[in-house]
Amino acid sequence: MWTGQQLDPETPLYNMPFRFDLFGEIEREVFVKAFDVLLQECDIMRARFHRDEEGLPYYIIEQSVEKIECVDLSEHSEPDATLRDKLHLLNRESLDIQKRCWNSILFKLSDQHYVWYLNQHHLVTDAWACSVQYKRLAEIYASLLSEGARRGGVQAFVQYSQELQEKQASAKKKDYWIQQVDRIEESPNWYNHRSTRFDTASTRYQLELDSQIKQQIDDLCMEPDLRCMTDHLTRYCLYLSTYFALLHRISSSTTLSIGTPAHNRYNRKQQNSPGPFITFFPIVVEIDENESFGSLFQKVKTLVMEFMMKSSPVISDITLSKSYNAVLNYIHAEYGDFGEIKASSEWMACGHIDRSHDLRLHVMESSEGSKLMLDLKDEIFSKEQASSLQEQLVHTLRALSQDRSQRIGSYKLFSQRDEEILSELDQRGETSAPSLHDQLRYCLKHGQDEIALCLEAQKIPYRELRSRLASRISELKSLGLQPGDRVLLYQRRSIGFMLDVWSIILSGASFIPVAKSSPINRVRNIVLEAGPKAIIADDTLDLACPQWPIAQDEMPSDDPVLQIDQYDPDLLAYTIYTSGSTGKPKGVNITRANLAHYLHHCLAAYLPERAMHMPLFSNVGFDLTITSMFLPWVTGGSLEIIAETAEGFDMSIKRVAESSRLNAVKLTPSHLEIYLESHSNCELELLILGGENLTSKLAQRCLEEAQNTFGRKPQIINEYGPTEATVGCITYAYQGETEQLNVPVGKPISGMRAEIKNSHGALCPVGVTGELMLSGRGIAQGYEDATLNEGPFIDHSDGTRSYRTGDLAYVDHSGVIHFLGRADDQVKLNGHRVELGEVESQLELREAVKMSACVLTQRKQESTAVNCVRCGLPEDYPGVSFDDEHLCDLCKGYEDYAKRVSSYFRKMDELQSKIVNARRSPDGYDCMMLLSGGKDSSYALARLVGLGARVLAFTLDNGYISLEALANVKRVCSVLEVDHMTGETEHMNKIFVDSLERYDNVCNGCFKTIYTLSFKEALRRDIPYIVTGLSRGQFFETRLTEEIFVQEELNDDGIDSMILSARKAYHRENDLVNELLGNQEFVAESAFEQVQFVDFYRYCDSSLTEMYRYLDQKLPWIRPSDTGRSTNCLINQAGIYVHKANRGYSNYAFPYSWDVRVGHKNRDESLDEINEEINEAEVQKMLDEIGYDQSNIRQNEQLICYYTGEKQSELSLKKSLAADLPSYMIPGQIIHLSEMPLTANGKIDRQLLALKSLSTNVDENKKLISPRNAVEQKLADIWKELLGSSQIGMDDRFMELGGNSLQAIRLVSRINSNFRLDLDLVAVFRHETIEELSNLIISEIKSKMSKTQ
Amino acid sequence: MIKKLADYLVEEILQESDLVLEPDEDLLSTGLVDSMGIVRYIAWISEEFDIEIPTEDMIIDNFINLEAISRYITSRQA
Repeated sequence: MWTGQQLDPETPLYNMPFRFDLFGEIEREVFVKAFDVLLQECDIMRARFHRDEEGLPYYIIEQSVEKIECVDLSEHSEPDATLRDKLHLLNRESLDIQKRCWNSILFKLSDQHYVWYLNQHHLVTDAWACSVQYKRLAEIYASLLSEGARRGGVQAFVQYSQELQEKQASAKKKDYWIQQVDRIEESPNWYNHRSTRFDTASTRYQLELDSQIKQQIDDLCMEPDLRCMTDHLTRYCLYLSTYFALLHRISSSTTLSIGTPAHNRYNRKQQNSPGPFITFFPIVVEIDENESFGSLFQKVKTLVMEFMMKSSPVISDITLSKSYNAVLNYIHAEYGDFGEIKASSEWMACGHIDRSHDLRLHVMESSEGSKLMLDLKDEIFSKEQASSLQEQLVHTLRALSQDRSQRIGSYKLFSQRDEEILSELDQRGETSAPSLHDQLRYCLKHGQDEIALCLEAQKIPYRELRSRLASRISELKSLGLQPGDRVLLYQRRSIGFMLDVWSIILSGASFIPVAKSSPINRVRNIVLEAGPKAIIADDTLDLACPQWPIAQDEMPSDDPVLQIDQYDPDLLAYTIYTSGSTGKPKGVNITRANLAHYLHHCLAAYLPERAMHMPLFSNVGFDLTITSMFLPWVTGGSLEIIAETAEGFDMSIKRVAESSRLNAVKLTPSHLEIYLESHSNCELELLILGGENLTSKLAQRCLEEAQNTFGRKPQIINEYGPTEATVGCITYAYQGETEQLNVPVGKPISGMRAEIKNSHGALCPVGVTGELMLSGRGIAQGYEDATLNEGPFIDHSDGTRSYRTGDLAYVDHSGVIHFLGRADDQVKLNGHRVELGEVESQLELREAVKMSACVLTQRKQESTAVNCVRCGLPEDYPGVSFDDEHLCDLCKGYEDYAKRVSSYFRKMDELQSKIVNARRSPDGYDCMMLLSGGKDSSYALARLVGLGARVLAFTLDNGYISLEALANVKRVCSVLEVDHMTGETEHMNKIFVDSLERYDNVCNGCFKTIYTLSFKEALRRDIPYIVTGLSRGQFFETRLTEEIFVQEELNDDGIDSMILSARKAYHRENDLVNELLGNQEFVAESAFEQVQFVDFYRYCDSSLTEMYRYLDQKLPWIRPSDTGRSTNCLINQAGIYVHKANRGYSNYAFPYSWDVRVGHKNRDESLDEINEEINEAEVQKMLDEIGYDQSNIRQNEQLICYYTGEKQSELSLKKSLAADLPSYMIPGQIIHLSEMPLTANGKIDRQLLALKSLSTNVDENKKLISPRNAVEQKLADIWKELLGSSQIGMDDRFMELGGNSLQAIRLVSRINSNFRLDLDLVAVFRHETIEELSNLIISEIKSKMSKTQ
Repeated sequence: MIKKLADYLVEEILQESDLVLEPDEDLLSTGLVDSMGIVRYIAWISEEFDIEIPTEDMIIDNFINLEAISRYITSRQA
């Protein structure tokens, strides 16, 4: 509470104002005196709060000279209203707790009506305490009045508080609570509103329960299966269960946490003490799939018992209070009358709520019955929402009391408002659309010389269109086309294609459009499944299906009359194959009635009564294009065909921007992005957006640009609809709103119904997310493969059918539906439910970001990494590159300076003369040897002794040294007759955790501890040398880098002095180890002269084999079996585990590769050690023991977010997202792309992005080929500029680096202007790498030169 | 056993050493001990008498007065 108040010093967050109405005469003077006595008795009321030097709060009890204020309102014309206004302000006034924690006034309203107002800070009171103060004041007042003796008194709080401070929280109890909150995955959102946690304004609502419900609750409390130890406990569990059920339904979260206070008043003394006794604890419930009220109640009951046993006033932990955003207060304090005077009491609201609380339910139980109040945070609960919530709470209470076997997922909980709004989502009505026949006929009859169709210079007026359609229809009929037949169209967008579409429809047949860019195998599969009567294609195909010739592009000579016949509306109009995200495409069969229904909607809703001039530029196999194929002619307008380019990306949307006669376009948001990029001069009146989520940012930009260019804004329609519900069935007219990230999808069109259902199939109330279900006239006949119908299509008993969209949505209070993404896009990441769309929307809020796409990806598995053929270093080791023969550049570079390295290593006799011969004192140790008990240090110790050194062996017991290793230490020391000492520290586990957090290994922290402790010991004992057993490979990890050997001028002394200064810095650095163990000894320079570090293996050149042979023959050293590996330390494998998980490779990979390089190990030995198996169960146990938070271990899955726009630093984007998203939703990588890859349909290609993310690692480590000639250099410069990337290899493909469409166009123009050439766009797609392009350019230049010569 | 039970309740939970509890005195419905107090009392009983007390057993009948509690403990110990 203290912290909360510090965050909002000006806000009256914790005011607890009470109003006591006293209906009788009050003697003012006596009351004032009585209050004074009360103040003397209640020590805590005299508390003043201060902060100590560290900023921690404390209070002191002062002698108070404060008096209660008295205000006479009885002369006012409306005393009641005046008081209400005054109290409203007083309740919202901050109390200055440094001066006084309360405010109290006695108001006189009339001779027979007084009001005692007492407002206290929650730091000094709770609801129970107020009742104690009220009752005591009444007693004092009565005794003063009768001048009788005053008896009793309240209990001082301060004594209790002091007793409390001496108590210790039991670790077991604390663990229980930590375990409870660990189960919480995420804070739930209520009605799709996430709290910003900045705004504390709240409103209190009083709930009225009718007598029927009250009676039902009373009856329930007597039910044997519900009855708890006391009546209050039963009621408490009932309200808690009700609350959980309600919260589950309004959030869809399955793990819920409710904060609830433990009163901590066990005995009468405590019960008679005014003071802040309560402490809050979370009750965490996991809701099961088929949870009923009854089963929920039993769960709650058990948890409440545990809560009562495990709560303790001394446990308080920020993680506990952060674990809930909903609170239940069950208060059963009695206030009663004011002595002889009749009275009533009211706990008033202060208009604010704790930052972290979204809602609080207060249940006030007293002899007068129960009263319910809700405190709701305003930013989450609008007035409408709050009123719905109250009704829903009552419905829930009723549902529980009527039938507790009901599932909590499906009982009916709608408010009146919910009912109204949900019924508006049903627009099916009675009227039907005119038939397709009627709609088509109307326009084709009337047009004469107006242009109906154009393709580049070719323009066809309506008159001519009719003749050509008539001629094509008769041609198709002569080929055998009959009503009900289906024809597959596999053509470029052309006049012939449009004639075919309409001829087929006018003949009562149906078409299957397949984009020209689709591979022939897709066409083959569709032919196999749908069995069309014929196929009409641009080219001759080799398919098991008759092929009819394409329409002739010329006027028929005989000018035939177009006949338009009526056909059965249930006949198919078209079949579109959707590219399902998984597996095989599905053919969706749309009837003539479906199409007629959609067209009728468009006619009525989009530019009504106006001719629409639209382009045909998008993929014809995509149902978005249906609008462009039919709408222009139905409105008497025109269609402008923009044919696809021969190869590469279909950039036709750019050519739409060049056209001048269009007034409407149907496109995807991704298309719109490109369209806006090309600054069109074409003034559109209407843009119909479909196929993807439309962000407000993009829509707003579109309106703004039009306003700037044309001085007018076009109409933007966001149209939502799966292919299965015929193009579009929910629409929203965007008016420039920017409050929301995404443009809503809107309301169902006439003839359609939308429903939003939860996983139990129950309708969701307003604001709650569920799956969107559609029904009505647009629902497709079904899939071509009818076996797929079951599931997505649901037939109801009344003959209607629904389609489950698999999309998540909710409806708001204005009846508008908001799309939240695919249900499949809701992914589970490390146990958290993550809405990919939400991450994208948030990222797109950043100024610099235009579009974004988030994918969940498997991180590359370590096993796929190839190891260096020479040293075994894995290919994914950062900063190291590999050549084609898989040789790492470290090995390659080493060839050049191997000699220099070997001269740095010395002979054993040098070590001998350094340590033994230069002995300072006749007795005492020559050196301290750091002995871990492992092979390297045991061997080193033996050899040192062999040199004649007097050694003190030092071992750090880090708590995880293997018993067998310790036995080795003992045996080895005793055989060698060496003194031995053990170092240890109580802080070891903290050090491990810190090391894991900082370095993803345990070794760094452990080494630092060894060096620190041994250094101190050596200083103390005046031992001149500390000898380490680091392997030569480990030198390269910790002391040496390859660079220092490449520097010619650096001799051994230079290297050594560098190492020494690094060592000084290492020991003086302010890290956790130094903080815990102290490093004051290392401040003096002399310390590093007094004790020097010597690496044994700098002087000893023994291979692993030699070492083992020596150990076997000369020492009682046994290879430990209990560590599962060659090391002596058990926790080592936990470090390796974390390192591998978080960095992808073992922390030993690098030092071992150097061991191999310098000849101390061979590659197989090194790989064996690196790849030794890890016992995960053991590891997890150890990580738990030391207290490492295992959620820090990266899983294989990772969130990767791609974005376009201005390139930003990844870190700054992550930081900025962290302000708006919980940490588990922050993408692991945020990658800039110069442009989003699009599918043929013009949607973001998420599959490609997911694949791309898999290859990222590979690309990073790929050896870059640099430019080799002037042309390549120039091209590389252009690429860098266009792609915003500095890493460009000559064999990189333009598109794989994120470049496409727009960039390609820019690329071609830059090439042409730089090299004075005239290449076309296709060249870039045919020659994708710089290498290929350069060859092309050189040959072009050559041929140009030869021509001019 | 009843004395031991009474002593703890009076000394530790209620902290009123001059209170005398009759074996059949109603602890719960009179509000003498509230829910939290009784649950803490149960926690102590479980430890002191080394018995498991499942939540299903935490019902009024088993803890209504000292006699009932003593009976319950004996039944669990058997």
